[in-house]
Amino acid sequence: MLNRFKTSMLIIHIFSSLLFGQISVSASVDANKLSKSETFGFKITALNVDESPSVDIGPLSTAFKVISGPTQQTSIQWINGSMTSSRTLAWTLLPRKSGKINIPSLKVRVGANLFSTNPIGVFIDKDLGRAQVSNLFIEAKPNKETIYLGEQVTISYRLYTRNNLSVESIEYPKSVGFWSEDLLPARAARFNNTQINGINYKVATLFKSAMFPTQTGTLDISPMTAICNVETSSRKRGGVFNDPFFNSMFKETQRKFIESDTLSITVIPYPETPPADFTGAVGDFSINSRLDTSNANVNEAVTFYLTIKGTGNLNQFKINQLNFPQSMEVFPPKSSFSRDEFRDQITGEQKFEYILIPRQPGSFQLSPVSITFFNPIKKQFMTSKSKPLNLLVNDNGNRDIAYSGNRKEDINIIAEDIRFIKTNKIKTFSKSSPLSLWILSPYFISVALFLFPATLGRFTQIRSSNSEERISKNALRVALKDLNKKDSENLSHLSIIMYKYFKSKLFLSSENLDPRILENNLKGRISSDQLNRVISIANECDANRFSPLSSTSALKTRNDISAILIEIDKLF
Amino acid sequence: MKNILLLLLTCSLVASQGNPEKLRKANDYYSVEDYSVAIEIYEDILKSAEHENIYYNLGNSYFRIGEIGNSIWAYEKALKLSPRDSDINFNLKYVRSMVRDRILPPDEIYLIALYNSLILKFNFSDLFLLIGFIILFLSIKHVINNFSLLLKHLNGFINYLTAALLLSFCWMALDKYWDISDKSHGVVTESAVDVRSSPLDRGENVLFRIHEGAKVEIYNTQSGWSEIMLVDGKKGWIFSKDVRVI
Repeated sequence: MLNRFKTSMLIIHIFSSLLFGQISVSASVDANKLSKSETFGFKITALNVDESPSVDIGPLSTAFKVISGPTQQTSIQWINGSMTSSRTLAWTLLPRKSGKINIPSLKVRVGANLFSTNPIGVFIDKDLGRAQVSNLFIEAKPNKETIYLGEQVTISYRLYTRNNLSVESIEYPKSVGFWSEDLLPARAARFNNTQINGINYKVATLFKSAMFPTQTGTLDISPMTAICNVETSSRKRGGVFNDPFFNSMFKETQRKFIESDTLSITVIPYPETPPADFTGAVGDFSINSRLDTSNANVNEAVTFYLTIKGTGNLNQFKINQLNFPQSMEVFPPKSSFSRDEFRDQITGEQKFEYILIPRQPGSFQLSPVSITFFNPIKKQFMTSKSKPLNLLVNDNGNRDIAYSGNRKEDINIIAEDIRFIKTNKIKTFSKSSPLSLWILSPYFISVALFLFPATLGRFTQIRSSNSEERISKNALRVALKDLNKKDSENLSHLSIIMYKYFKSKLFLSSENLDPRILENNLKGRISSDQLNRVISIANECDANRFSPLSSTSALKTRNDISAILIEIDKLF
Repeated sequence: MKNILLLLLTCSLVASQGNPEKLRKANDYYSVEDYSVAIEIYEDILKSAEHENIYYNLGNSYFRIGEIGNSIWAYEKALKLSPRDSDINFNLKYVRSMVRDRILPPDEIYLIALYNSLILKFNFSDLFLLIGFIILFLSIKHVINNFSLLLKHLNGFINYLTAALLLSFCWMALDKYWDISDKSHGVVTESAVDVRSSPLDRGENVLFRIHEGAKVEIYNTQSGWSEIMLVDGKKGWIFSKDVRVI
């Protein structure tokens, strides 16, 4: 099975080789003799491949600058029944140095295969570089070559040409150690006529920059580079058409790369030690201040204006901390900077607006504000000072107003971290966490509350029965006590005492006892003799309830009642 | 024998009495940034006692020496004892953010997610206490009904409401109890741990790799191996020494 597959693959390969031709990769340039400012085309062509070639052109970067590319092109040709396909990668390169430069062999990968290109020699004419200068060049010109730290140096980049051209692209200079500000922003070049050594040129200022060194030493400013499309006359034309009239009609455009020289600026330190209040201002400045009013009320805003005018590195230094009276609330200032754009020197004014709110009445003097700067023309440190200002703050009764108007801001999280350990004392160290008493307490209380009504009822019941028994037990004693009282000579009273005894003793509920009810309740519980005696006493008492009775009879009845009650009480 | 028991009892009593002093000392060591000594003392206290603050402080100490796994373990232990403590929750969330593995649980139905987040806020004692309060409320209602007709019109509503609450909290307490008694969780304490398809130390049975601080559910343990499952359902075996049981 494997052998069959291998055989079929071999047949396909042989057939495709016959049909498509040999695979090859080559490199080529469109010119191998050129000037330093001229660009040229570099191509890598892969023939009869199915995939796009890929190549690392890193080895070229030391000698050439890639202006554009890679662009990719594919073409197919049929010649005598044989097909030739090609895939091309193309770059536009610019030589970085002059002399004979070798384009080394490059490794080209096509699919899984790796090919090497042929090395190519290119001759770069040194003389044509800046000599072409005579026709086209950029001049970088600083107004000073030695400056103090923080002093302005203005650099102008001017394009000189003798031909018509258009600027395709510009790469602006880069500089380390400078803070720069564009004086003339890049815009379409406007050419003027000028002469250098008797030769006419067209000149345009491409760019102008004010640069302020932030460190001392020799600082380099990289060159400005530009790609221009220059109109040139066709050189190949001759014969009858070699005539200025016709030549003016047959112009061709050449793409040229030009760059200015690298500039070196020497930055020297200040000739004397800076004063303590020097904050980096270099130039010539004046400072003045004013208040919007000299007469204000407590808690009313007053605006304090501070203006720094002059020439130099404005906007690049801080002003010293201002000292306002303690009783004044000061809000962060608003600052603005306006520049005079039509001068090569950075000139302008910087304004600060402070809002002050006096919280106490009184007469205040705002101390003068000073600025110390280094004057590079006079080569010394100088100080400009504003005048002191007077402010009268009147008390208008607003002193109790709370401080207000503070602008609220979101808290800036600077960093995040875990919270600190807990250092509070631990009451109980337990290995396990049992259900503590207070967790169980609702259950205990609930059980108690559930049982409470039933318990209360039972308690009440028991209490009430005990009371009746107690009354029953004490019935005789109470009856005898009542009988011995002086007012118990009335028969009705005696009968009540007797009935009360039986009611308590026999737990009778009826209030209106009579001999019949008594008989019914006592029958069978006491002897018939005793029953008869009780009933007869009761009848006697009822019969004579309202008739007067002699004291002797009453005494007898009372004794009878006492005797029978004592007798009966023994039975219960 | 009696003497030995008495001696052990005395020792444990002395040890437990020394815990506040030990804790103070450990906190002092933490304050002077001697975290390793603080860890030793906290761990020593935890042999005889347990408190969320000790676990919390231990978690902080482990975090300071860069042991995220042990730190998360300690915070998880503290959280079990005090699930609503804001400091524990904050630190645990902060340290979890440093765990290398992003293990996402499967999407849950809203109500289940709500229930799960609710139950996490309570420990078993909290639920037991809540049930106790509901029963207390019912008993108060019983007393009022015995002596007054004040709640006569509300009785029906109150009965349904309290029954629903009681059932809910009882279910949650039961769920919590099952969670405590049946499931066992752990935290990976090694920087990188290979999870294998079987409890065998072979190269070809590695399924995936988890890192320090990953929380796992432990299903089974046998002869130095633990069968674990991640919240996203991935399952496998790791060495028991690489995971610390919460």
